Amino acid sequence: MSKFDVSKVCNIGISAHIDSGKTTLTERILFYTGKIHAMHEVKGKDGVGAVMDFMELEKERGITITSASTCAEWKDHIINVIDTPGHVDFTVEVERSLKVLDSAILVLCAVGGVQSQSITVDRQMKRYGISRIAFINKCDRTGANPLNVVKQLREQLGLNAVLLQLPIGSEDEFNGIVDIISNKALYFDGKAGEDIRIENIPENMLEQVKEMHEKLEDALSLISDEFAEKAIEKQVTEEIIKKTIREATIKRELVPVLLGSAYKNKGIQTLLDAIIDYLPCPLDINPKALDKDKNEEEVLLKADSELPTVLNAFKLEDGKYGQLTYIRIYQGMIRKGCELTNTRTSQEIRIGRLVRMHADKMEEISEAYAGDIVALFGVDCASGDTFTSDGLNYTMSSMFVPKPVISLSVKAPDKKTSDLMSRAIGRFTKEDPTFISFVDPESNQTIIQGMGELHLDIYIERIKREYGFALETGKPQVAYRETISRPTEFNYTHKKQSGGAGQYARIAGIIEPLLDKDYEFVDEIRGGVIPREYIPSCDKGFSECMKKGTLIGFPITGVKVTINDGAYHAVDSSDMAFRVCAITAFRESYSRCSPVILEPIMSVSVEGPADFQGTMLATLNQRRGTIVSVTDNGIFIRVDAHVPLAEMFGYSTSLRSSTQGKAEFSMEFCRYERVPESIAELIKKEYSDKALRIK
Amino acid sequence: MVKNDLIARSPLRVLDRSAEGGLLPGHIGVIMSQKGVGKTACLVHVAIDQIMQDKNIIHVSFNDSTEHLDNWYRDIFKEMAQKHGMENANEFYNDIIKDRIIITLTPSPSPFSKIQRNVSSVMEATHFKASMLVIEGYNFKSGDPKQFEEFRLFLKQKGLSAWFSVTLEKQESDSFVHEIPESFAKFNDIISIAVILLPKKDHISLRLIKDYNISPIPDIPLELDTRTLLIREKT
Repeated sequence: MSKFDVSKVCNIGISAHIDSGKTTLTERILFYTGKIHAMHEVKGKDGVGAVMDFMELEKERGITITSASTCAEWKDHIINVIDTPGHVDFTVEVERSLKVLDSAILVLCAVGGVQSQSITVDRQMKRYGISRIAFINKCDRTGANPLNVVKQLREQLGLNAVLLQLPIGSEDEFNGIVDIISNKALYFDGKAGEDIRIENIPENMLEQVKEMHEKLEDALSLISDEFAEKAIEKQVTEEIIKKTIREATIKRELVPVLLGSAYKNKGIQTLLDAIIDYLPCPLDINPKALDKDKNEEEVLLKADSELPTVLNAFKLEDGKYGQLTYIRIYQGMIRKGCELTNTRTSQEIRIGRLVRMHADKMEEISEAYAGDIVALFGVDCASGDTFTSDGLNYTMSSMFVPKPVISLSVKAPDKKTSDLMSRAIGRFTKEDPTFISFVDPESNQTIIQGMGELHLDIYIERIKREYGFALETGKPQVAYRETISRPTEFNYTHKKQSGGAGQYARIAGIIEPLLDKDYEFVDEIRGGVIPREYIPSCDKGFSECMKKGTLIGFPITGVKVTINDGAYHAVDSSDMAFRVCAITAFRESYSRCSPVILEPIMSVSVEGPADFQGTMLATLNQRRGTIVSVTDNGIFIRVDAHVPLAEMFGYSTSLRSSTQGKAEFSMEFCRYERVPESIAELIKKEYSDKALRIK
Repeated sequence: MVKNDLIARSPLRVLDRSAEGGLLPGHIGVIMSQKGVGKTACLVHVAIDQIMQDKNIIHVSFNDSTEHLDNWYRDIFKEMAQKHGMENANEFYNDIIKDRIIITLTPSPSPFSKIQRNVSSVMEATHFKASMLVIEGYNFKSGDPKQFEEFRLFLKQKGLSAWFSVTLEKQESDSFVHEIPESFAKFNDIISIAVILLPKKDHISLRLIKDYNISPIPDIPLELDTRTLLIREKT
């Protein structure tokens, strides 16, 4: 490969509804870019699975669990293809991969068109400002109607979608593509469509092509004054058209639409051409980093290899070769042996082996530059870590990792599998910061925590497949919180002066509710009634109580403790005395503060055909959901609601069965809210029963 | 109590002085102005005012996204909270939105059937007892007074009143005298209350131009502050 040229790099993701042929398309892209030497059918007809989906699980569930990054080369360009998870239970992972992409290919089925999941995907793309090309796949199928799909893109997703090609022949007679820009017909000959034959447009299509070409020029004139002028002066050339399309696509004012059939090997090379012609290179993107030294103020980065290095580790894989860390280099460059700093841990690392990744094969390289995506070996870090050179203290993403909302107790069937379980869980927690595990000191059970029922289910399944045994699981537990609803004054004396070393401390103050924060400690001690040196111990004691409330044993949040009076003893007071005093003062006053239970509320988005509107609304209503909004585009409805997580268990199955599998949902954490009285009573009872059992 | 304060002090109480004390179920009101003058802000005010009185509203829009509309509500509520020195505005806001459902629709050849279908669906499936609809972006130019009659029956049956936003052309607004613009005349019988927003130098003036069948029309001394988007009594 010739010297790295960042203007010839495209970092793309492929986004699609289930069954639009995403995996076949990706494989075909890899074939034409010369990386694999034979093609295999996805279903494994000839016994070898598609290279990309190296985890069986994905094939079965139809969703992609982890990102894989593949390097492809086409006409002197590098195209890094990043596979993106589609399900919103993996918010952090989705966010990370979407930040790594510069653009995306939206794959649609020529028959099914825009499906309900496309609305979610589109929303995600808009959220991250990602430019895209649409590819209408499966043009060879019965019922294929690409023109209708373009209409749907315009009407249902509100995209300025413009068709750049027309199919020659429809359904099973689909055998070529007309390029509207060059006004030529292309046929894909050879066993794998690898030879492109250029001919004149078939007679019977001349009229239609002319019309489409005019439509294209009209659309471009609306977007670009410069183009409009050229059009009026009749000075439009192919080059100018392409340049305008590129500019408009990068500015997200236009979505070029191409078509083909990955399965029948038609339209892939033209798609690859479009990727390099119309999608942005890293220089067209303005990635922002946050400056930790300046309160996470935004800093613009440039894909310039001469500038100091800033790169982000977006995916970790603990596989057979050891730990592989996928990185996106935003600025600067790296080479084997160079040193960088992890801005989260302040640790220094040395770059060892550097590789360019294919889904299952590796290519060793000695250096990599800004704009590229490569992988490192032997680097110990967490997903999301940022590495820099020259002392820059930047981070690519806010240090915020959402707290898990659901936990589950798990047990291995026997001692041997118990070790495997620990290993597996250890591996997963390192790759995914939103997946947490610990041993509960009280019950001695292993607990796993995550962002949703599906999130945990997938890991349990993976353990089954990859390690060969099934975990025994307890009942999923919602992460409740406790808080107080009333301010209370306290004044507690801790005294132990009966023989030997005594303890003495007195603290007085107010405990009151606090909004928008977990805990705050205010010191209003005057006149040294509590010596300065013991104040931190008071703080420590109070904050220790916050870890576990006495109402239902869950963490306490939203408490402000102000101390304004107290007393000490010259000999018997100590750090410990004040700490214990604080803890006891708090525990004693807690019930007077009218503690209440908070439960996590999820923002749930359900999408499906309009016919099922009533059903979708009802399923949410039945689960204590409050409807926030309804979006109706005539064919699909999207309902957004706030639903307590405790009510969401089994929702997936319930929604599927009441809508004939046609509706889907996604959810993410919204906020904590007070639990209704009746439910609070049940939770309290459960807690006291459990406490009795342990005793 | 803060909530009662906000209700009592709301300039919209002035609208209550109108003939029937506001818009009755089965009746239609319109807020008219040129593009970008402040119809959405006014409608959001009316909606928030209703919610403060523990009534539920459904906000329908043909031209805005849910996120965009929610931002309107947040911004205006924030200003109101600040003005009245309310402390836990955020918490309060979360409670408020429980009484509001936003429905966003794409333009359609039969907008009323779409509105009716969605409103019925929401009210039935979730027992949301709405008492008022706010409808934005309905295209009156292509509207048919007959369809409105049917819609009024629907409103009456559901116990709903409805406020519509109407976009006027510049000429219609400029040449405004004291009554409903010419182009809108065919809807005169269907509308019970009509308010027009007129841009002045540093504020927007609200003018009542139809109040059921009352004549002469009472003057409502209300203004929209263009900076804070709050409605206040004429200074």
